[in-house]
Amino acid sequence: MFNFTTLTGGKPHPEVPALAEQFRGGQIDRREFLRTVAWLGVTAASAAAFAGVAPGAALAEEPKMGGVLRIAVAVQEITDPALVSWVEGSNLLRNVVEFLTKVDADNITHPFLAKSWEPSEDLKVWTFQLQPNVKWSNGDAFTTEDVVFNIKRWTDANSKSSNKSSFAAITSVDVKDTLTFSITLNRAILSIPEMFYAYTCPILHRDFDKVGAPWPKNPVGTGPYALAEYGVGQKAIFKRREGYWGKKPYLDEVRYIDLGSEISAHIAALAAGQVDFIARITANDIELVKKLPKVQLLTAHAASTVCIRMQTDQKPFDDIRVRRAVLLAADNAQMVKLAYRDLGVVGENHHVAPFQPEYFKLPAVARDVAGAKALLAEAGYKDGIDLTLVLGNTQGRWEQDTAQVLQQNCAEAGIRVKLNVLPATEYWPIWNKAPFALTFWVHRPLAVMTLDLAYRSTAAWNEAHFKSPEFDAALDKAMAIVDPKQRALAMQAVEKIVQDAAIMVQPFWADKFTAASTRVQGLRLHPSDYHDLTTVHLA
Amino acid sequence: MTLFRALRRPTAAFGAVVVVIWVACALFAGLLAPYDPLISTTALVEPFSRGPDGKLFLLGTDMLGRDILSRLIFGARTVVLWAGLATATAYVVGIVGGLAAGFYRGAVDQILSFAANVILSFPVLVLYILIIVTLGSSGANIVLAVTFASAPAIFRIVRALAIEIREQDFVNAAITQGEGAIRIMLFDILPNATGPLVVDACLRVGYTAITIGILGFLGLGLPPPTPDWGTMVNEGRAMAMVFPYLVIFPCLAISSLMLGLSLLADGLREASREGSRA
Repeated sequence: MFNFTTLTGGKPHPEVPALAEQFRGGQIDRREFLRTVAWLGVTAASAAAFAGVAPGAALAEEPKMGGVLRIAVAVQEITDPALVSWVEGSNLLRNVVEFLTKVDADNITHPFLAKSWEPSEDLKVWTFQLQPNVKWSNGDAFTTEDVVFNIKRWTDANSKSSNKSSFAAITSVDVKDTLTFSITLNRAILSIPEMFYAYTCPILHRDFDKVGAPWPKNPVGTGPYALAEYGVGQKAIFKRREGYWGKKPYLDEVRYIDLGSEISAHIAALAAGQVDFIARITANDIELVKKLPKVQLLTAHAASTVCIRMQTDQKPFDDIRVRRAVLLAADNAQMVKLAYRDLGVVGENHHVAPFQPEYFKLPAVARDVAGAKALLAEAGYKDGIDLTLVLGNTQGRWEQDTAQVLQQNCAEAGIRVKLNVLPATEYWPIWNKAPFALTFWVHRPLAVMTLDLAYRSTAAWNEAHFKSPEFDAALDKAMAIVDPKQRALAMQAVEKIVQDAAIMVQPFWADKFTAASTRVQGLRLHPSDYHDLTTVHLA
Repeated sequence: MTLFRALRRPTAAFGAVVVVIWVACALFAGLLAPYDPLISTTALVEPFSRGPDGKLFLLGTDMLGRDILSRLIFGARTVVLWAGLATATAYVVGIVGGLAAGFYRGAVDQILSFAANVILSFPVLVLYILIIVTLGSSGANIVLAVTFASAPAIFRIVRALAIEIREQDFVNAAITQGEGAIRIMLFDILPNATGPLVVDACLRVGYTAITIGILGFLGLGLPPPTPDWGTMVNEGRAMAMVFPYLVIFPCLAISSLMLGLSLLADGLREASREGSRA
């Protein structure tokens, strides 16, 4: 019997041996095994040793210290870090504030500000041990008081953070000592450690509210860099600070430069050597980036997607026949092929990706234009129906391209879709208000995290106004199962409820791409777009 | 007569042919376009190539697999229709205001001229963007924006001509005979102002076509999937370094229409001068 070591040094969770057996028997794959035992508190080294993963190769030579990394990205106004709604903003914060856990680009959860964690057998009580000797940039010691302040702030009745629904299951937070705390849940949740790495979960200083927002005026953090300058729409400069508790980062300075929203301008700046790394490119830019000298293309598979969702309580979408007609008319395969250059995976209208661990393969639903027409006629729209789809190209023009293909698809069924294309900045204020809208959803390692955030009856970001107690119960059940195989079976019901409710056309899963100068080393594209710059160095 | 005189000039005749071709495209788009401009087939087929299904695409297909030639032909309808309509509306407003100001002078002139000067003091593009962003992008709103921004310039031309013609003997004779003001303005003053106005209108349709192209390029044109040359340039620009034909053809379409209208306007101007000398 292999002896697994845990982060706490204690006995492994009772499910760990069963998972090991499943891995040996080929019932679950290596990645699934590593990811699940990491949640249960097994050390990465021990899990990797069991799974036969070679330890990371040592670098041929020690990376060079120093240098300034220049990144082209939108420098947005940041009021309260817990309320940041764009990943770009969270990446700026990430230099200064840190998280309890860290999920790497392979979706494996690692200790961060939390040194270790241990779940109870029923997964309802989670005990976390914090890193000792962590100092805030103002000299204060980092303690459980800080963590409790943040968790209570997220889950407070008046909280506006999306964490309020994500962590709604927390019934109490108990402090054992200055470095140990536990959270108690009203239902079992397996993915708690991973959930603490959501970009809405940065750990702020316990006195943050005494000074208050905006964050650039109150940038106290535990991270490796200190904020030196912050100009909304212009630039943000972070300088390495002395006294950081973790491994000293290689870069002296990280400089974010706002070049506007035009990706072509970002690529031009990269080609001209004015920046070293650009936050994002789209599928349409790949051919160009490949031709640029001294530029590397970074790619990653991700559960990022667009949801063309219909609000179930708004006319005409309160009639499920109309929603089903739209889904039957939509050709998801054509959307990924034309709008995303076939650089993604076809979606199945339930927001669970085939490469997410909980995925259960439902029978394929074939496109049926005649069926769509019949449903419309039954719903009283014999002569077709006029709909207005609102979108904002928040991630690039491919969103509009996707909508245009859907428009063509729907036209075949007599569904006349008018596109109302707004500038991205005008879209976000109304993203959850328009009855028929196209919204980009970022990657989350677990499908249940997105489902919990977007489709639970009480969820803060339930933009489709989908309310189904049956779905809520099925999701609760799935979130509590440790065994990936069993969890996938429970997900069958979850996916089927969402798909049958026909609340969205979710055409495809969009791969991620970006580009950096070849002098940027040690950078991996994270499927969530999170930038971990502590490993980055310049050649 | 002026038109016939103008067409004797090779450059003006060339301009007229180009304009007629695009107008014909606009009128008979359904007959001329080889494919439906809104239907996707195979993406990014190079010009003069066939898709996997054997279909020939003379100007290639765009990133959504739509035939570029068909989109250009249908795009002509967008440009010719909306540029023509917008210019005509601007002319109606400009002529009415200009005639009234030039004929009545005094307070009417002062108020209208002040309003025109205020509007003209704004950068035209900023005005267009403000109007389209506020009201939303549609054909009617493009007409409104162009009318609002162009009518003051037309007003000034008409006003200047009206003031000059107002002093002519035949107008004074008509006033003495007790003819009504509207009748004098429409039947005595306006016909004598048409020469410069036709030349200006010709150029102004071209400017409006460019304006529609600019609005489309800025993402403020007609809502997708309406074929619109400016929008086509905007859509193709992200891939223009690799697939330059995506932007070259719509740019050529905009330039050719503008060139055609300019050459025709030059010819008309020269012909009009010759006419007055004769």
